[in-house]
Amino acid sequence: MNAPGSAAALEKYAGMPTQNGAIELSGAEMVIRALKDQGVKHIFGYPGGAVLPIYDALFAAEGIIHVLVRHEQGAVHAAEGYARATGKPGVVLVTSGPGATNAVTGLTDALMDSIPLVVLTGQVATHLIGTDAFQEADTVGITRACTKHNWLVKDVNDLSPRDARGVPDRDHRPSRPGRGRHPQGCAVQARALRGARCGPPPHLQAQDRSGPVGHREGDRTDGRCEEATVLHRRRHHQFGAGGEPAAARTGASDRLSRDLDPDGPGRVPGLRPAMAGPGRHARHLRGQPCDARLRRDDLPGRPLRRPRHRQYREIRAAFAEDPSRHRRGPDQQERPRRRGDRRRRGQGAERAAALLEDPEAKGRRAGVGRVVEADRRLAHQEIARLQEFEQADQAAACHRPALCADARSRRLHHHRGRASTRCGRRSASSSRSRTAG
Amino acid sequence: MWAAQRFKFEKPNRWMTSGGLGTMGYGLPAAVGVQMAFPDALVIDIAGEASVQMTMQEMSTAVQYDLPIKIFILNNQYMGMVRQWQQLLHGGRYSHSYSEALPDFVKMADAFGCVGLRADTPDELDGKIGEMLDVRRPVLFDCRVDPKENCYPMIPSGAAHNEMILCDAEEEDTRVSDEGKMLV
Repeated sequence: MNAPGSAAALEKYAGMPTQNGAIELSGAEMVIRALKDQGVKHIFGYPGGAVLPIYDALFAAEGIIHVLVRHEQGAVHAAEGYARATGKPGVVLVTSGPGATNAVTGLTDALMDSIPLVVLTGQVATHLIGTDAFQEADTVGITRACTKHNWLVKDVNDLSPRDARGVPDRDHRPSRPGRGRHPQGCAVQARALRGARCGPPPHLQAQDRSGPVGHREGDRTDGRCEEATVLHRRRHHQFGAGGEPAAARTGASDRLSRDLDPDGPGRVPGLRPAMAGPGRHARHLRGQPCDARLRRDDLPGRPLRRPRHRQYREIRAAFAEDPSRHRRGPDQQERPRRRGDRRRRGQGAERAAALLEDPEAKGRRAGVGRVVEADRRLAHQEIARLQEFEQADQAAACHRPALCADARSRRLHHHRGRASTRCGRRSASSSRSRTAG
Repeated sequence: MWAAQRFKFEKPNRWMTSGGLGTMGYGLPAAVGVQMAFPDALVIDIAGEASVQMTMQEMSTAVQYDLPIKIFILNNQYMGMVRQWQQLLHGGRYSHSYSEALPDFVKMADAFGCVGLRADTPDELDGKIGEMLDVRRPVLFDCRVDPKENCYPMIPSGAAHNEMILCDAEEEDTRVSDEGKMLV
């Protein structure tokens, strides 16, 4: 064994190209390398059994300052303060089990205030997951409701791209500039995996990036490598507190204003595809309606989408009556259509026509401006419908008339989030449409 | 709440608070993080004696990394907001919001390797604050304040903005409606 900090110990981490010239890294080194590649300068953390390999990689890493806290909650809060003050995401590294659960308060806090965080937690060895192993907790399950996104990496080959995805790019701009969102919090579960061989991460293959984080010699004698997952939180499109100035300072102010604009993309139901990811699951689990999840045909005033089997039955019946109706072609237009079909088709047709006329038109994205205008008009209509719906809802008789009447008189409808279950008598179709969504 | 209402901020991103979740003990580690990002800035954590005890172990972190944060404790020996709500909403029944036993914060600061200061009277406050700002080390400032002082203005739960409570009054129970008490 080499003494810690000795030249021989550090030499172990010097880069050594493999046969194809790539640098071979363990999972732990990939985590550290990915963080460095994203420009992370500070990590707040507390070591533990499951993340010791990462701390081992951190030992030789230059350019990253690790701040040892005394409690994991302190680590997350410190990272929150760091993120608020700098506009960069705060990075936290804690161990599995109690380390992860102690971080939950800070994660919830950051989610509420839109603070960008990346939280990496350990996890027990793969084959021990689900066995109540030492310091094991269902981290992904526990943090589902308090992260924008979270995941568990079970294969070291999945580690690097995901890890990089969790952290904004080098300048800490929003990772998806088009949407004006920036990552709010991520968590990586890194755990030691015994018996696996570590390959080079995809983004390091066939290129030699000089840096202090090198490799572990090809076949690791200890047979360990890292797996990790990144949790990636979605920003709340509400009245964000801490995250907003940070976004503004990092040059996202225009995108921010677009976000805060009720007409802005990504805010109005129906303008964008339904949001995916654990966030909606969390909302669903909490029993809260999430407007962004409403599909067009779930909105009030729209016909309910029929169950799929009924659609098929009708289609079969119609086909038996007149098979020509269901061939591809103009006849198909007779099927019941959803709002947006025509627009999409028109858009595609227009683009296709433009392409036929002028192959260069693709680069100019012909027709985009017109579509955006149509979106905006549609959004206004939907907002108006939603407002009508809410007013009707509030005026409806309530199961708790005393409280509701009082709340109405104060112009405060109590707990809008629970209104669908506790207050207000909806029409049969609208309540069905909510639950159907 | 005291800092939110009384402290004046002149630039953005100078006010770090757990606004959404309202986590007790947020300030001290957040100050550590801010000071880590800006080592030369003046970083002050305005806390209560109850909340600072939730994460006070991070003073050790501040000492280890030489972070000269200032922990300014408004020590009223109560969980201030809980006490105020109990006074206004629960007929003054201060159930388990009083800390009869508290550490000697000055000695505790010494034990952690920080600088400990205490102000018991208004006269010595300015001088001690000046001392706190002059020291370039982590400082724990134990500022003893009136235990019964309430933080106003306050909008009771369920009330509108024009029903804001501005000061202590005699008939306290009537100012918050029963429905408002249910909402807390």
